[in-house]
Amino acid sequence: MRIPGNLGTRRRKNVNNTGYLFVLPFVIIFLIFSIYPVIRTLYLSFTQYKGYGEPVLIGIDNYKRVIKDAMFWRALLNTLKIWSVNIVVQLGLAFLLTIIFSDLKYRMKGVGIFRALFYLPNLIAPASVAFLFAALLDWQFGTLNQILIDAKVVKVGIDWLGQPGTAQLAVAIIGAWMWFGNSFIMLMAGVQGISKDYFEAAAIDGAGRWKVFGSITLPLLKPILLYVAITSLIGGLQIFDIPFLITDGIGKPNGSLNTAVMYLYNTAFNYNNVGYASSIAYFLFIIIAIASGIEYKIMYHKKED
Amino acid sequence: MKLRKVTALLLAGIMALSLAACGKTDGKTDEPAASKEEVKTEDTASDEPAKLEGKLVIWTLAEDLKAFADKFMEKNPGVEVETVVIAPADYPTKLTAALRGKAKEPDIIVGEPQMLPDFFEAGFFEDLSQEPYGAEQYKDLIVDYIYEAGRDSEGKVRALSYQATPGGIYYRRDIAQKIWGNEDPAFVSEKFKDYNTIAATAVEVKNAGYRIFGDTGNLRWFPNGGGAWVQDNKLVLSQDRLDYMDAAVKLYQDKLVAFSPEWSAAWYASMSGPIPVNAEWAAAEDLEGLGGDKTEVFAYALPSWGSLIVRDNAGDNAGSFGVASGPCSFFGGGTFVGISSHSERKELAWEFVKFTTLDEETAKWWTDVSKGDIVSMKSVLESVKDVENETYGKQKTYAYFLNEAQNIDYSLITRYDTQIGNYWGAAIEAVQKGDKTKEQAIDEFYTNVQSIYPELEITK
Repeated sequence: MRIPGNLGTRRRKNVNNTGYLFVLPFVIIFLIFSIYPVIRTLYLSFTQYKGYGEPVLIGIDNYKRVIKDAMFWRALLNTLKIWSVNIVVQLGLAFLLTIIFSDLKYRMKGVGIFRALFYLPNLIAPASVAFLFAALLDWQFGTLNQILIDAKVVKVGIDWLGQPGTAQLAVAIIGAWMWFGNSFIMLMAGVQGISKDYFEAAAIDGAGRWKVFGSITLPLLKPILLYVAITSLIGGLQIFDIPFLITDGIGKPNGSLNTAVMYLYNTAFNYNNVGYASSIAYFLFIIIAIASGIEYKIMYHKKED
Repeated sequence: MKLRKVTALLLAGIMALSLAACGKTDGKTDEPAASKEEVKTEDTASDEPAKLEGKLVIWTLAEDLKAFADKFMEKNPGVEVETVVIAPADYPTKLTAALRGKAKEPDIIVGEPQMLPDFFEAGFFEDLSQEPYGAEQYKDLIVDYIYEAGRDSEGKVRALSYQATPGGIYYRRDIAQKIWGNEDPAFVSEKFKDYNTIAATAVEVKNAGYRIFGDTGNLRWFPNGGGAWVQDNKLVLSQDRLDYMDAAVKLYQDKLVAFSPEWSAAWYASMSGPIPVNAEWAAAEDLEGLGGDKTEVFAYALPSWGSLIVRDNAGDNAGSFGVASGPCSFFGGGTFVGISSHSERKELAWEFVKFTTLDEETAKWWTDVSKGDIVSMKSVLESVKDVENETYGKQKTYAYFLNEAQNIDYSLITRYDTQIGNYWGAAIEAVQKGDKTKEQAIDEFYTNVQSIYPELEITK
């Protein structure tokens, strides 16, 4: 005699097994292409390995070297400088647009079109962006300098990509231009998730635009803001493509565009020290994890109080 | 239930197959060529060479090898050679990926001098000193520095080259005549004998209305005037190198060059006539409209292949050029040919390497076909040394290059040179542009080199 309950249990069990079979291809690919490299990199970070031959275990020597490596710290500082300007411009612009497009009084139309337009720079391949801006910012024939000279703002073209400060600023602005659309979409989604009742109630109570923004929009946007900030931090500290393509590969001018990941790349593939590059990768991972933790703490500080 | 079992079995089967496919290259491929798909030789009359048969795959970064492969096939109808040309920037990555996976093909691999030490250390190139190759017996056939460049750190021959690339300073005889009343190569060589003299010469040339070089980058061809960068595991910043920095800064800051970088449209155009100063990377069609001062460039420092570039772009100035030597003998580039240590057709591959690099008939053929390339075979260079070069005022340029090639001291070249040179260039640029003082730039240069090569001893 069959007990109905048992049949049910067995059926559920079989369904679960089939599920495992379905996820198996993903799990295998994930294990091979994500987990294995992560573990292999960790192992290599404790070795001396040139990218060929056999890795030789050297304990934590690579990590000791990272701590004392002046070029790594300078590269990290360059990265932070570029990121900090980038995030201010990127989020500032995204916020401004979010305020404008979400304000009930303005009743802006065509949000969808603008959203697509703002997102477009993000769809252009970084290589194309790098070449585009290299042409725009060329000190001699660049469009920007031609405009400034024609408008009599400057007499001689500025070597934007030839001076450390302006080169870092340029890369930060390029990054902001590429990513502000992405942040804008996130923030708009966050704002649209806030109940209109709050805004209407605030309007009835006579709250001004900035009061509404500071007391309603901003606090309720915190989770989205945190997401945008953390992803931007992770992406920002990993900046590589634009500085790499816009310079000579070692961070011209004067090493100012040598970012942490560019240094990692050169260490592995040009200086043939894959072991040390692996330790830089893990060191960077630790720094990003700590920075993300700090960011999280800061943003949720009041709530915990 | 059955369907699930069948599906599971099918999936497991696909996975097993895919894993087997991945692991295929892990099989041993290091066995000698004789064991597998090796060259077939048909014995003919005892005094005639054996007929070669089989297939070879070449991975090269120089188009030249296509011509060599065609010639080899013409001579050996039973041989099929597949030549794959890979861009120099991608070559090390592709070769490393293939040979780390112990791929059986390519059979013939190449490298430029700066790539060779790492390739050798990685074990990619077959040891040609061992039998049956015995490459050391051919030492005296080719230019010394080529032989040295093809040896690994233990002195084993692993690659050979069909060409030598000694350098020179290609200068305008008519301009030299106007400035100094003397156009003789020996006289002009004195004007380039060291970095300080080059800086003084640059002033004389500018005062006469010309510019010594297209840009300061010309100096980089003489990086070893002050000895090797690394000696006994120590970084050496000699007085000559400091003079080099001073000269590069003076040339830039006093605007003694035309600011037309190598490979720019203005640089090519300058070989045949006046160009605007500061043309930089302006397109050829924009040069006319640039305005400002115009000038003519006096000299171009380049390896031997550069003499062909000057020749092909000289226009009406053909015949007005000469070749002089600089502060030190140098070379630039060159394709070194060897056998992949994982090839299963090593015997045939060795026949190709010999044909390309050690065969007098081939070297003569290449001298004619390339219309001026400098081959590495001494006997062939000797045989053409009295040929007068029309572009260079009937100067015997082969004799010049043979002499320069023999003066190259390969012991000055180290595996660190490329990266150290990059950072030294960055230091010079920082001083040129006024971003740093000389002391600050040198200090940072030391820090950078210490960062990337902590094994080197650096005394500030």
